Amino acid sequence: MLLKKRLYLVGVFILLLLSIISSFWIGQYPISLEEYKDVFYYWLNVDLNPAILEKVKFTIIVLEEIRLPRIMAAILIGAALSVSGVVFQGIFVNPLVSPGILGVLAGASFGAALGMLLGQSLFIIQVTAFVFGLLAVVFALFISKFYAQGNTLLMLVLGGVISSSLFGALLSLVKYTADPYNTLPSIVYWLMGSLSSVKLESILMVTPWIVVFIIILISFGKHLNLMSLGEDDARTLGLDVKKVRLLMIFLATILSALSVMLAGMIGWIGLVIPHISRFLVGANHVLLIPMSALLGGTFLLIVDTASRGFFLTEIPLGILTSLIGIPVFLFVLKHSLKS
Amino acid sequence: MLRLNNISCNYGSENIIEAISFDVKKGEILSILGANGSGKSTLLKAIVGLLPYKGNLLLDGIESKDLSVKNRASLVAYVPQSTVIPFEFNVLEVVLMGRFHDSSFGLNYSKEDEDLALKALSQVGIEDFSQKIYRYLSGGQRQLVLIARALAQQSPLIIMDEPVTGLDLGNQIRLLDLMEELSSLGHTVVQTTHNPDHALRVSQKVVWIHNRNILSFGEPNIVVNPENIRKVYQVESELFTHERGMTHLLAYGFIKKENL
Repeated sequence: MLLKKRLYLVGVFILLLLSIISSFWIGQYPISLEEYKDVFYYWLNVDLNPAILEKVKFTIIVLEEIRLPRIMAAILIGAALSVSGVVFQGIFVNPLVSPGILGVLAGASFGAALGMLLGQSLFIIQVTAFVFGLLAVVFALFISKFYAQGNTLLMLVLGGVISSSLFGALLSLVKYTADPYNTLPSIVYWLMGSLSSVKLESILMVTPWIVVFIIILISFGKHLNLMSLGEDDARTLGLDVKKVRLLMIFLATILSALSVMLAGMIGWIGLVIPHISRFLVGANHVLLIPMSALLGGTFLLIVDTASRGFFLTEIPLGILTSLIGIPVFLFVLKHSLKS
Repeated sequence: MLRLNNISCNYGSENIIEAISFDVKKGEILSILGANGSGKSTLLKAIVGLLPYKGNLLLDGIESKDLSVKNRASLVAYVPQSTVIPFEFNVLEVVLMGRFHDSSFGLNYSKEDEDLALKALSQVGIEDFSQKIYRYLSGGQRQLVLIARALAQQSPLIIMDEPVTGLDLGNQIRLLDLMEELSSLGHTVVQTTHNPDHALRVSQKVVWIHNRNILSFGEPNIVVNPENIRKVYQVESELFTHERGMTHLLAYGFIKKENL
């Protein structure tokens, strides 16, 4: 049983490696298999004939500066959103919850749109997206705290609904005031989600955070298992629910906020990937979180590669993740209902 | 082991239970009897630390409020009436969670924890279930898993909220025997029940809860009597002692309010 689950993990890891290799190869700039092989040798520090090196110089630039950041971003964002989804589903004892439940996605969207409206640089837009993502969740927590009586989970959900609506309205306001020829299209496009504007520097900046947060969440796997039984059971089994829940919400929120900050709104992954992962390895978060991270990263990488390789113009990721995610989800749902 | 002194609990402004006092010694089985909605479950929730209370509630001599969540879990285990888990945990995973309070920070439970969980499963007779998915089990089977989880917790005090509800006759008797076995091993058991026969059969002490208060507290063969049954359930009854030495209650005739 456990062996089978570990084999699934290894299997998905191999799938991820294969996706990375093909993703480097596929793209608008055609690369021959020969060149690709030479670049690989170059990366592996094999001594190459200077003439060959000269020939593949441009290919190396394409791979390292254009494709590498996108590949890293796709894996990181896919992993971050999926893990965030798993954690929120566990906290809310509900497999239908998605990372946006406490308002982080709405807040970050508003933040980014505001940054664009004020005509700021990409860096500032990323900062406002991140900050408003966190603010929206703090607002939701504040509401639930303020009115908390009895069922605090229910109040958290209500807090999230209120916070999401508030920032949704503010986003509409920004769109309404934005210049319809320049700013509005860029806001709308950004909200559809894309990795095309991702820069290597920003990737390198967020990578350690995403990795560390996912590792912390895995190490809290036992705690998350208890929490996903519900508040009362967790408490009588010895888990200080309120404290641990706050920490988990904080980490999962940051993961989501970072993903929106880099790539805009990419929906559906945070809901679908946890389901598929649970179907493969069960509900134990110690295995479930790594599985979701690997599977989410692989899924988004494949979708992003498809979006830049198989279409004449790049289709925004948010659209593709839904179009591809829905049939996958329906398929898995059917099978998991059968068992 | 468990001492309640003047315990009151309320939801909002409404008191659910008022001024409840009793104590249970180590190794005793206490049964709490009372009509639907009399506050039995509320009382249990206060004892396991799920509801705030007024008064003094001592677990092994320590005020429950002053205990950390983890330390409380090492003193008292709780079997709720039911737990719905929307995720596909298998039975062993659920029972292992009973070991959480005693496990170190890390990814997995130790071999000893796993052995204790398996032992708990075999104590309730469902060792074959360990790989089955909890949420696909029947209500009675889930109940047995939750009891195993409480046993795995290895706490000296075990609180069960209507543990036999949903169990078939064989499992009911098995559970009552298990309670006696636990008490002979030094565990203290507190259960709520709707069956006075079960209270008569296993417990050393019985509490009647009626109209938010204690109606009577004492040994089962004294306080489980037709008079209390009439007050609480509006039912006429008679007690019989079987030649095996067991006392059981025959209830007949619901009494209409005006005839009380």
